[in-house]
Amino acid sequence: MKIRYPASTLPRAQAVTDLIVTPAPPLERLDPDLRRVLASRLAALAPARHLGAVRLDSYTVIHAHDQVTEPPVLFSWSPQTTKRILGLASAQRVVAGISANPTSAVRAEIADVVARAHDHPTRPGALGSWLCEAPFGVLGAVTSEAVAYATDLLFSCAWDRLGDDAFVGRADPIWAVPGAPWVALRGRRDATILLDAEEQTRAIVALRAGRPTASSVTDLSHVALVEGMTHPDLPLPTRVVGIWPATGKTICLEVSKEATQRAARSVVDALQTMRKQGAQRHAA
Amino acid sequence: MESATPSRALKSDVVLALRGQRSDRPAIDPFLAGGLRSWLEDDLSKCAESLSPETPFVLTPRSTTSQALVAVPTMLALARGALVSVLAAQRIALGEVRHPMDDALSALEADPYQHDVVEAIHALDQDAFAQLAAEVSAHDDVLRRHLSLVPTTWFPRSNVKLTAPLAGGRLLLTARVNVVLGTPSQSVASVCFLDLTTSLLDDQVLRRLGVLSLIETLRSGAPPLRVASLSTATGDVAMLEVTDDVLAEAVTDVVTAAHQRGEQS
Repeated sequence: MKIRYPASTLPRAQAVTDLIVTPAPPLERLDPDLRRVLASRLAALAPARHLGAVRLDSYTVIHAHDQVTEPPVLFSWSPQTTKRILGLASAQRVVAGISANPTSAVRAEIADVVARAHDHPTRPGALGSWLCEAPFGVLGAVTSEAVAYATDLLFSCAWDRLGDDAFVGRADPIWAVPGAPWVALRGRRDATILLDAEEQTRAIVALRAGRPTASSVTDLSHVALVEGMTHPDLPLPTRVVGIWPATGKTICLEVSKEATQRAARSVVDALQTMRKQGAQRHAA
Repeated sequence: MESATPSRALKSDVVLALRGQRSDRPAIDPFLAGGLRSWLEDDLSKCAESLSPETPFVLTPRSTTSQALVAVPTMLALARGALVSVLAAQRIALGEVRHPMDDALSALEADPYQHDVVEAIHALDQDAFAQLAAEVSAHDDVLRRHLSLVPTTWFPRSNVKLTAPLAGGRLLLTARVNVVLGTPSQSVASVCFLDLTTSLLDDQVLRRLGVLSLIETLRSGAPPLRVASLSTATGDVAMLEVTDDVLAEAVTDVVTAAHQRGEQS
């Protein structure tokens, strides 16, 4: 496993960008055998469909073995749950030159989402419907959270140096398990940077809350694994760069066959634990 | 700390005073953050031996500069603080507040982490609720005076969490800043912090701001340009130009507090 860190020079965004674009030989595609074995194991371990969908992102995989003391909280929209969606879309606007700064980008993005919901009524649980009904104070909190997220992302790299090779805020890749599509792997990543268009090599940037911990490498490996699962025709990403804005830390995982194998093992272990816990809850 | 602007000197335009003139911004010493970190790591090594990264010891600017353990504020004080904090964020994000209490309460209601505060507010009787609403409105008047005209080109953001892990994550210096302005520093200092309090500015405020500056220096590699604290109760402002002396004093405060807390626990 190879971990790298940016140079401790200022400005940090330039040092992180240097790290992202460091040349490296292209990797192979994800091992087809690993892919087959993982699909088969996950399908065999999938909890019963009536117990609900299982979305295996890094967080779920890392915390699957934690002791569960409280019932799961059902999803609802809040300033916290909207910050990444709106923050990413707004950062994309700034990188593309559509908006001048995060605050104006978030305001424009929210106005667009609300206008779309007015013009094309969406289902009641959709973000647009929720924002349409949100009181002014809630819109303030939503804007504030999204601005903070977008600003963190925009300040993390020198986007002007990356130009058209940077793709910010594309939807997270999701790979549904064949035979058990209610179980899916999700790779939470915020940007993809094309390193070599001909070789299709790329680096992935993932923004994270809090501070790096002992499980951070598992998190970054998971992002690489899902990228490989969802793009079987492309080489594995060269590196996954995790950025923790609250602490100013950056960790770069140079992706390898071993890293994806380890990530696959973590996913299988996590699903096994979740299946057991689900069965126990159901029996109780 | 001679560089501190005396309290009460800035009744308005705290944001303008924070940003100052572009030409007056000090150059950054790129080795300063590393030096301060080494100093802290050395002085905290003994204290950190007994700690584990799984249960880190957390120090905030307030707990660092208070002699005794910080008293737990009443629920009403917490509620007032939370309401004023979301109003500041709203003023920065949207540039206006329509109905202070309604706007702030609806924002808190949408935040699952504020459930207890919201419950406590709803449990108030009519008179107490009206009194709280009047207080919040008065605090918002101060916010309006200071935060209404913050240009979006200054990259304003609210409720920014800062953490500086030390001793392999065994000790965490953390802070949440109400308002941050400016882009990350390159060759000169450019980031400014505004901390809000709904109580009066006490005599420890400048030391707290010093510790806040230290956390940012360790986190970003560059010290902030200026930091200020605004009392929304009185409109008083304490402002600090961040210098090497300020940061050195903050290092001493952190080391002293870590050793004191270590002995107490």
